[in-house]
Amino acid sequence: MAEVKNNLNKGVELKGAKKEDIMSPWKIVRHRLRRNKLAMAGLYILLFMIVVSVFGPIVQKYVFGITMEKIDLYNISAPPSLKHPLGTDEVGRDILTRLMYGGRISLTVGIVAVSISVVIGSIIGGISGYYGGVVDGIIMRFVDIFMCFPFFPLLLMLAAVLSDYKVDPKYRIYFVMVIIGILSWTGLARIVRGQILSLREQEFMQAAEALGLRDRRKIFRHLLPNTFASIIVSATLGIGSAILSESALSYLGLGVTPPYPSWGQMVQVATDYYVMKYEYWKWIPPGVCIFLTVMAINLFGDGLRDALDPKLKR
Amino acid sequence: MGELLSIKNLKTYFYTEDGVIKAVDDVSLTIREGETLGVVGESGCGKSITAMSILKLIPNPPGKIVSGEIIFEGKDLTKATDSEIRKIRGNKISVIFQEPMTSLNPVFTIGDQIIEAIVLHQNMNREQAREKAIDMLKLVGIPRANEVVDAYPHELSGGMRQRAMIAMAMACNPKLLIADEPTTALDVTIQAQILDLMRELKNKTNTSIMLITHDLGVVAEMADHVVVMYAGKIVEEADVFEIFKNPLHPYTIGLLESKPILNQDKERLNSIPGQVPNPLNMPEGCYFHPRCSKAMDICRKEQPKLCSVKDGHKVACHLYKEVK
Repeated sequence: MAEVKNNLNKGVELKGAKKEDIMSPWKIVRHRLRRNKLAMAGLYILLFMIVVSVFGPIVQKYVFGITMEKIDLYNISAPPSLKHPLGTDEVGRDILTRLMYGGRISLTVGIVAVSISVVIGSIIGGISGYYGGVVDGIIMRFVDIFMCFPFFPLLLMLAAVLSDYKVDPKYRIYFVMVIIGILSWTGLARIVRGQILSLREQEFMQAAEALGLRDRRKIFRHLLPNTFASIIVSATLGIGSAILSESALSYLGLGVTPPYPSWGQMVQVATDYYVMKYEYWKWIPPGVCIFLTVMAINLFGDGLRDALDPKLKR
Repeated sequence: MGELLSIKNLKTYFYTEDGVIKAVDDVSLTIREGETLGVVGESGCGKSITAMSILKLIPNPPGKIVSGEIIFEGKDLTKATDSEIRKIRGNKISVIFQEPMTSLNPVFTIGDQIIEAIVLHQNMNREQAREKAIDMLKLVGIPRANEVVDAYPHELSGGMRQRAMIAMAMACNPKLLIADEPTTALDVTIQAQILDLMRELKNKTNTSIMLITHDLGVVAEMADHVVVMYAGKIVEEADVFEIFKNPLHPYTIGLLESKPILNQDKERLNSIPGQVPNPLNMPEGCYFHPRCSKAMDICRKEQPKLCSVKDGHKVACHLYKEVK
C-alpha cells in the first residue's frame, strides 16, 4: 500500500515538474477576449477615448495654451483650421479642447453612475437572494415599484428641481451622476438576486456555513464574487446607457450647463437650423464621440459576456 | 475515554405543506473521545439530518429541532445562540461533505478557503494562516502543497479536492469531525486512500469522527462503534465486531446480507424486499414490519423500544427481550 502511495505521489510530481501554468479564471477570460476582434476593437476605441480625455486637456493647456474656457475673439464660429483643428464655437472656444473636457465629464458620469448602481444593486440583490422568502418578496416588490417609475420624466423632474435650487453648475454634474446611478440599480439587483438564489443552494455554501461564517461574510465574500461575471457585463453595458442618459439630459439643458462642456450639451447647438446646415464642425464631432464611445462599450460588453460565459466552448 | 458528545432523544421534524416529516425521531447516541462512530442506513433514513442537527445546519423553515438535547463539552447545542454555534462550527466540530466537486467555492483558491477558516477561529494573521494551510495540505498528503495552495478547485481532481476539504476541516484541530459520506463520490482506490488518511489523522490528533455512510465496508474498516438507523430511528447499536458477528435486528441482517462478497458465484445480490416507507405515511407499529420476514402480530401494533440485550448491544425489535 505504501509503495503504491509513493508511486502515486511520484506520478503527480512528475507531471508537476513540467511546471504547467495555472490558468486562473481571469486568465482564461483574457485569453478568450483577445480572440474576439470586435470586442478588442471596442476596447481600443474606449481606451483611446479615455487616454485622450484624460491627457488631452493637459497637453492642450501646457503645450498650446488653450483651455476650454479660453475665447479666441478673432475666430468666432470658425471652421476647422490648423489653429483650431475642429473649429470654434459661437463664442470662440476651441471645439477640440471642449470635446476632450466633455469626454472627461461623460466618462466620469458613466463610471460613477454605474458604480453607484452596482453598489446598490449588488447589496440589495445579494440580501434579497440570500434571505429569500419574505425579505425577498418585500425587496422585489419594492424593485418592481421602482421599475415602474418612468425613468426619463423622473430624471427631467429631478434635474428641473436642481436648476430651480440654483445649484452651482460645477456641482450639478455630481447630482446628475447620483440621480442616474440611483435610478438604474434595479436591473442589476434582479440579476444578482436571481443568481444568488440558485448559488446559495450549492453545497459549498453549506460548507461555508459549517465553517461558522457570518451571513454578511457569506453574502459578500462567498456569494457575490460568484456573480461577478454578470455584474461586470451589466456594469459595462450600463456605462454606455448612463452616458446616453447624461447626453440626453444635457442636450435638454438639464444636465451639465455651460461653461462646462459635455458631449450631449455640445450637440445641443444643432437645434439651430443655421448651425445644423452650415456649421457642421460644432455638432458632428460630439455626436460622433457619443456614438463611438457607446458603441465601443457595447461591443466590449458583449465580448466580455461571451468570454465570461463558461458554457460557451469554442 | 470520556464522552465528547451525547445526543439525547433528538427529534428533528420537517414541517412541509403535506404534513410533518419525522426525519429524526427520538434518536440518542454518544460519541466518546477518540472514537469513530459509524452511522449506517439507507438513503433518507435521517443519518445526515442527525449530523446536521448537531451544528444546527438544518434549513429552517421547514426543518426544526423539536425536542431533545445535544450535549457537547457540557453545553446544550440546541439551546446555543447563533454566535455561540458559529464559534463551534468549523472550530471544534467540523464537517466534510459528500460532494468534493461542489463543496469548494469555485471562485477562490484552495488556500483562501482554508485560510479563511483558520483566521476566523484562531488568533492568526493571514501569513501565519497561510503557513498553516500549506502544512495542512502537506499533512493530508497533497504533493506540491506550495503550489496547490494557490490552485482553484477546478484544477484539482476529486480525490485532491476531498483531501483539501479534509485539510480545511482539520485546520482548526476540531474535537469532532462529522464526515457525511466522505467517500461516496470517489472511486474505490481514492476511497481507500481517503479512509487511510482519515484514520491516520484521527490517531495523530485524537479527533472523534462521526462517520455517516451506507457502505458497510467503510464501516468495517473505520468504525469503533456502529449505529444502524431506519426511518429516523435507531434500530440497532453495538460495537463494530459485535454488529458484524452477531447482528440481531432483521434490518441489520438484511443489510449485511445484501453486501457483495468476493469469490461467491451469485447472479444477484440479496436485497431487502419492499421500500423505505413514505415518511408522511409511516406504518403503524414497527416501521420496518412491512418489509420484515419475521414480522409478528405485535410488530403491526406496537413500536419496539431500543433495549439492551447484551452489554453494549442495543436493539429495537420485538424478537428480543431486554436483559437486565
